[in-house]
Parts: sequence; C-alpha cells; structure tokens
Amino acid sequence: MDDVSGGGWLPNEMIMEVLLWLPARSLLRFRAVCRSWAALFSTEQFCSLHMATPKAAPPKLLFISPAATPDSSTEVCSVSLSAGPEDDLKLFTLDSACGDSMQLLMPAPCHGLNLLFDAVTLAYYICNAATRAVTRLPPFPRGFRHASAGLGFDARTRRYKVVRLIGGTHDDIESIWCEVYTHGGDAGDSWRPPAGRGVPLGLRRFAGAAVSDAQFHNLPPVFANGSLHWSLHPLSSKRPRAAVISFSLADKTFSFIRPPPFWTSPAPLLASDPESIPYRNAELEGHLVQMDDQLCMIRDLRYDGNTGGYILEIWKLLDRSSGAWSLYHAVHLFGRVARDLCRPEVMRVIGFTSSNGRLGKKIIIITSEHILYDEFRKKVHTYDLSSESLETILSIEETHASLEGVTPSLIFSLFEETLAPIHRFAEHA
Amino acid sequence: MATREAGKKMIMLKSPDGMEFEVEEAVAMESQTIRKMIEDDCADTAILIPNINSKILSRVIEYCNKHVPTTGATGAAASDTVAPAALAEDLKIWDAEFIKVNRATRFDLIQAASYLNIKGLLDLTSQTTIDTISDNSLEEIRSFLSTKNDYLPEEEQTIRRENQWAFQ
Repeated sequence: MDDVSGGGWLPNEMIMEVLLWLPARSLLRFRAVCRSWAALFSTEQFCSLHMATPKAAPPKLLFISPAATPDSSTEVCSVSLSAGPEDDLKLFTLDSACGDSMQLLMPAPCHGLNLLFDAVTLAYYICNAATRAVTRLPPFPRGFRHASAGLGFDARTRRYKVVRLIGGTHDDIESIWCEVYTHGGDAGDSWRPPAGRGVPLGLRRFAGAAVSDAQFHNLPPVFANGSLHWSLHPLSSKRPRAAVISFSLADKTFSFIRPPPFWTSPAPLLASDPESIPYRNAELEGHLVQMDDQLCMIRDLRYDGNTGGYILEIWKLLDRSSGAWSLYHAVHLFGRVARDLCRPEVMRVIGFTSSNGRLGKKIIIITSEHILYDEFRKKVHTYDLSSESLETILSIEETHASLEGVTPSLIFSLFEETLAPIHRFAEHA
Repeated sequence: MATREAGKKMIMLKSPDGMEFEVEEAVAMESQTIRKMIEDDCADTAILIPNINSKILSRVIEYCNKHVPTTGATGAAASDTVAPAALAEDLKIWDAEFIKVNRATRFDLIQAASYLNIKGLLDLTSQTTIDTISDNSLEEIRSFLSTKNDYLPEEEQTIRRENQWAFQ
C-alpha cells in the first residue's frame, strides 16, 4: 500500500513533528541514524515535547516481580494496561538489591521518572522505565525511622528532586526535618536542607503526623501542580484544620490544604454518639492521587454501610488556598466485581488513563489482600468511568519476609514514555 | 456534499494555483490558523492559502468537513441519536481510509496540517508515518527521510552497545 520508493520530502521541523510520536525505545535506536538526531533527542526541548505528545501504544504499568528466592536480584517488569498477560516484559534487574526489599515508592511517575526504595540497604533509586535507565542515589545522612520521601519536579530549575521528610521521636514530636536531593544538579550530589525556612512552626505537628501516617500505611506523597502532597489522618481531632501538607518544589515552602467536606461532617456510623472520637482509619479516610496534574482525594466507602453500592468517590481539589473540593465522580459497583474490590484490606486508586485520548477515562486501582500468614495477593484493575466496567490486569501472589507494619509494600507504578535522562551521581567523589 | 442552509456563513479559500473552494466558516475554523484570521478580522470573504496546492487543500477540506463537530441545528438529524462512542469509532474508520495515500501526499498533508494548525489531521498523518517507519531498519529510515549516516563505524557500534535492548 505504502509507496516507500516514491517521491516525497519533509522539511526538518516536520521530521521532528513525526519523531515526537515514537516510543522511547525507537528513539534510542534512532540515535544511530545520524549525529543530528542523537543530538536532537538529548535536548531538553525535544524531551519535553516528546513527553507531551500522546502515544498510540496502550499505557503500561511497572511492577516489581516477586522474588524467586529471598536473595535473588530485584527484577523490574512492565505490563500493558489493556491487552492480555502475554506482553509481560522484564525491563531491568537491580543486582544491588534483592527480592522483596525493593518498593516502587510512588505509584505514579513524576514527569516520567519513578522513585524506588530498597528497605534493606536503605537506598533510593530513580529510574526511567521507558529508557530502562536506573541510578542509585547517594546515602542520606539522617535516620530511617519516621521518614517519607517523594519525587517532584521543579519547573523553575527544570530539575527532579527527591524530598524527604523525617519525623522526630515520640519525646520530640515537634521536630521535623526536610532534606532534598537534586537529581543531576550542580550543587554536589548530596542531600541538603531546602533553601527556604523548612517546616514552619505551626505546621510541625501536622507534618510529623503526616510522616508517621505515610510510613505506617505506606502512603507516599503525591506530586501534582508543582508540589508534593502528604495526606493527614488526624486520629484525635474532630474538626481537623488540615487534610494535606504540601511542599512547593519551586518556592521551597510548606503549606496546608483544608479538608474536603466529608471529613468534617459526622461519619454516618458514629453519628448516634457525638461524644465518641470518630474512628478515623487511613484506609477509610482516603488517599491522594493526581489527575491531569490536579490533586484528588479518594474517599473509600467500602466499609460504609449506607452508601447504596457506592464504593469510592473521587474528590478534586478546585482551589488550594480556600481548600474547595468538589465531588468529581462516584463509583458504584455491585455483585462479584464489587466483592473483588471489597475483600482486599487495601484498595488504592493510583492514577488515570485516557483510552484513545478522547473516549473517557479509566481509573487504575490496586488492591492488596492478606491471604495467609505471610502471603498477600496483589491485583491491578482498571475501571472505565463511562462504561462502568472493571477489568483485572495483573494478579501477583507475594510472600513477605517481614510483616512489619500492616500495609504490604508497594510494587506497582504507572509508566510514562519519556526520554528524561538519568544521571549517575559521582560515587565516592 | 452538505447542502447550504440559510444563515450559514460561507468562506472562500483560494489555493496558489488559482482554485477556489467555498466552505462553511465552521469547517474552515477547524484550522486554528484560519480561525485566528477570522477572529482577528484579517479575513476578507476570500483567504489565500499559500504553499498548499488545490489537490492537497481539497483533501484537507474533506477532512475538516468530516471532523467539524455536528450540532443539532446543523448536523443530520440522525447524528443526535448516535452514541458518542459509535461516532468516534466511525470517524476512526473514516480516518483510516482517508490516510490511505502515497508517501508524497502524506508528507504534503503533514505540512498542510502543520501550517493550518489542524491538530487532529497532524496527529493522524504523523502517527501513520510513524507506523510505517518505526520498524524499518536504520538504513531504510536514512533513505526514507533523505538523511545521511555521519557516524564512524566504531561510533555507531558504541551507540548500539549503550542501549542494546532497543535494537533487539
């Protein structure tokens, strides 16, 4: 059909237009076409345009393959979110880490890059799944207990940054530190306190609570709209002032966001006894997720008796300063599909995809179910908001060496086609 | 062809080879470039489209005619009852037929879509080109896009080694 030998000529800027459609894999190969192409693909302008161009290939998911033996190397794999299981693909192996100790710290990439954490060697990694490049970050100076880290992107300096919040001990609940690692930065490859004032005095107690919740429930911060967001789950306050603590990567300042309306209205199950402190569980209270670069909160209604089949609600943050949230979508499911989502102890929405660009959105839901003593079944589902159908993409059974904490580790993340470079830090420099 | 209804504003598009095409304003405004001309009042009753010959321009208009959003007042009565998903599916099939052209025509369409700023058409033409080149060997791509290999053999080997998995 296509006349390859026939005439035709494209000016340079048109060629670039066409190249933006290619997956990262093809572009890595096409670096070998000529010098100017290789140079073009490494420019930041091309990388940003390439990331912004929708790809025809179905969106993919990244996951850590269950270890064959406790000391086998960590394998990072990818699977398509729309087709059958036959497109499982091993991306790379991390020889410096082993088995189940590795976590995909954030369930969604930040501008194409993913953050990993090895709980045994206490090392962070940044990877670009599309180009299969990965690097281990330098060791961090402060202790590991009560810490939570996230990957963000500073649009002003065009740099990726890993932000770590470190909480104090029980005796010293108000002390909280922040450390930032700038990826590919020229400030030396090390963790430093952010340039600003750090966590303001009035927010320290909130930030401390956010860090311990994040660690205890394995709830990583969410990057949206230039800031990393940690959710708060106040156990003691009936009228919580803040639902989210956020750190702006460009301004290096902390702020808080007011809670959505369902936080402050009395919980239906407890309404009869106004004296009781509402039972607020992290899984019930909800978790954060990013959609179209906006912050959303997922309200988990699975254990709420009076919702008429609604199992979760998606609330969108409309305005940061006033803390205006609005209900974007409510998911209701019945029968077998509902049971698939209600049985697991943990259910989280990790992101959204647009099928074919126009035909409505799908949400990506991960679940984790405790089966036996140390065995967990983890699944990935997609739920189509318009056709209201639930599809299971992946099911993994995992044995945990340790049961520390109640929530099993994070092994899934979304995947983005990007050429964003991975820099290696100068070890022992 | 669409029948002309009263009250519908028409616009004349002229190609450099002297052909004139009368189209509905809404159809012409699928092109962001033309939309801007109209909104800025730079457009007379006739707009000269430079660099795009009548053959390509007529195809572009055909595309815009198909893709202009149909509303209850202007579209055929049937389109009201068709589900959006079915409509999109129908457009996809139409697009696939539309783009069955030779390479030279497709390249001309890419340039026209880029100049006229018609995102849907640019996406369609670029995507189709990608489908044909992404699996080709490097040598085919070089001749396909009239690009020369300026690497030394050992340099090309290094590039291949760096990301060997991408070449498999």
